Amino acid sequence: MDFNDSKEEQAFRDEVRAWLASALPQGWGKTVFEPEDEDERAHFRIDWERKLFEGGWSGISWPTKYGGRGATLVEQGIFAEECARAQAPEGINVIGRNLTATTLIHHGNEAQRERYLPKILAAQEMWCQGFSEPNAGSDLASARCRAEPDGDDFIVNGQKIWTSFAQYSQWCILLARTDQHAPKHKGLSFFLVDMKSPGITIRPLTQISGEKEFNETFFEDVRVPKENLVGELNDGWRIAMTTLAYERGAEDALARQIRFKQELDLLIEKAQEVELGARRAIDDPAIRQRLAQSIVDLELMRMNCLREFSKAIKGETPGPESSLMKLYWSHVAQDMADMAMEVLGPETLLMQEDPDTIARGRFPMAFMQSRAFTIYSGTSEIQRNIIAERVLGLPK
Amino acid sequence: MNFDFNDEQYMFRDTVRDTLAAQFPIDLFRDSGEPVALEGPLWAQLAELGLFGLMVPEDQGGLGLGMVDFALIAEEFGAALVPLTVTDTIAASLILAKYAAAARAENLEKLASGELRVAFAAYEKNGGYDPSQFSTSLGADGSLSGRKLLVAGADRADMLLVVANDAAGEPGLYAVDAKGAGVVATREATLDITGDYHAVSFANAAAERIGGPDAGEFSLDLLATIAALGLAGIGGRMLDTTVAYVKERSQFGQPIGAFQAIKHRCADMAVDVNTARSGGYFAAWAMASADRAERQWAVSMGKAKANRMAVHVMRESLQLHGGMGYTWEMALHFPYRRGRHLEILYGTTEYHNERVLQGTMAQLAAG
Repeated sequence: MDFNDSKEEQAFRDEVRAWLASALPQGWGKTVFEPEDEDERAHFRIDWERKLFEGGWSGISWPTKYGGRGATLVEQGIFAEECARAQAPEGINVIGRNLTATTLIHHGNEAQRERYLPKILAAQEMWCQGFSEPNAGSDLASARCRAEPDGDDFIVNGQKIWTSFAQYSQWCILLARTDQHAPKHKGLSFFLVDMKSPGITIRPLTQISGEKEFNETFFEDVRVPKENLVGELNDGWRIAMTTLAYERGAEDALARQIRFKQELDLLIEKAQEVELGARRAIDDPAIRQRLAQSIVDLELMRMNCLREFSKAIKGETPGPESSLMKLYWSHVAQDMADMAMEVLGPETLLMQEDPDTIARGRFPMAFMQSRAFTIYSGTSEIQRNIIAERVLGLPK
Repeated sequence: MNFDFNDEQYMFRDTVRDTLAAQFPIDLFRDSGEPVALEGPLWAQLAELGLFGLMVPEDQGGLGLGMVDFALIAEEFGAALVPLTVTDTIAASLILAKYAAAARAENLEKLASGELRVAFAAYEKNGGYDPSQFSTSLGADGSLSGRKLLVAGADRADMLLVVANDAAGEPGLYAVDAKGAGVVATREATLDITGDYHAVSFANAAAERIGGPDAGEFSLDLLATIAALGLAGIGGRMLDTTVAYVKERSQFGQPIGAFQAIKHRCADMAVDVNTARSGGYFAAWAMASADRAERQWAVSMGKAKANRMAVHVMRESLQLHGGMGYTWEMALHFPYRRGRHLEILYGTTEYHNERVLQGTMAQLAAG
């Protein structure tokens, strides 16, 4: 165990740092920020992903034959840390990189890997996730969206919900029922669906934050070629479990940890500026305790991720243990967002447009956004069931 | 970078775990009562495994390993409620190797073989946790006076390592002959009955300086790290015990572990134990490899998280055992008692939180 960089790792870190400094605009994070408009921001993030690819920073731990760097998760971790230090923008193709690609590496065929992986890396194709349905949320295996064989195609009919970034996506990973009579876990298949296919309709949903990141997606007689089936027919549930393990796993969590840490650093900075009457917020012992607790929780979120990385490097595939990651970080981040609302006084309530706002309204916005953390990628209640039954071995 | 232990470290851990499970089961506390009597045979077995020499340099009869190698073992010691005289003595070997003059070499050899028993005398009545506020101090003649609380196994110790201020008010670490003139140990009545603790009075006792403020701080950080790892061990043990119990205990016609109200609480315990381990391991690494600022920051993070985890996990464990959990016979109260001892003696969550915040603010100010 060594948390220090080796000589090679230090060189890699220096290289990342120098590149980020040259790639980000002058004054980034100080006077220059991401676009305010949601749509402009999405395109800004797509452009940033392409820039990362051109710089050779996409797929650091991916095999070289699919366009990756062939390095390890340690380098991936170093890269993430340096992005945090530079306050670099988030990517938008998380589903492509972290879910589709990892699933195809485990369960796809070679033709699928060669076709899709390089375009994910190059940020030429964005992906969305068609898993949840209005009546299949926590009980995902009861999904009713159907795929029926017809010649060389499947014909898909049904509705998906919470499809984040569908409006920017060229492709969708879809979980659909291919056997109506089998037990619910045994009748699902995993497909790759071209979002340009005739019969797909997207309807945006407005979130409590006012943003429109996610959608309802309707499939009406959508033709999906049989070559777009991943793995075996009716083996979709097992494949989807791989997808979900990555969605809940350490690589995803580390990227989030970095965003959360930026927010906490910003909060600590503001607590040193804002006066609560006679003293600065930072001089209030109760506030100091609350800030400290979030620091501890967030730093250990990183340590949890790094420990998982080492297991992955040793060859362990992510499984139900990834629910430990997700359950932990979602509550830690939500608690932090709640706390941030309570330490800077009344002006915390002012949103971005208001001249008296603090930190461009970041804290109330983060508070609203953070409500989703304990719901998406499986609610906390589902994560607890998974941990209890599949990690601790408690009876069903 | 590498964030995992190696195979040798896991194997050593397994050996220690098996030995403790066979030789030092929790039933001993319940059935035999007096912890001092239980310590003797255990001490000999641990010496045989070479554990007292774990961090003693090889040319002085030890294994020449470090804090990271000790981390998993400290966790096992915590889980098995091994007396704190054991961990104090092992911690002392690291302190003496790091700070003491060559004249202490003889001590290291004795430490490595288990012949020398050391107790840390750190905390005081009305002293809190900050060593600069301790009142035990050296007089103009260099002799040490004051009173320390909760010194583990002080009546059988050979050497006491005392955190005290010199005549100029500067904190440091001093070695005192535990059997020397002016040293009186009195057994205390404590919440933790899995070990024996003593108040030790020093009246112009002869003291040898081991090191200045850094040695004092390093010692307290080391004890806090070992406590954090011990708490992770206790948390893991209580989680395992609870999971096993709720699988067996049947009510309403099914194992209570099948109820979501129970499952979800077990899952939350598991998350907490996992994270406390991360904190403890990071603290152990920082003790071995980080500079002073990062070490203090990392240790306090590890200890603060271990404290919160332990309070949560121990409370849930007792609750999920129902009425049986409240019985002496069930023996859950032994780790609970030890857990609160470790939590409170080596720095409360609030104390360590404040150090973490100061560390983070210094990092942010430095850019």
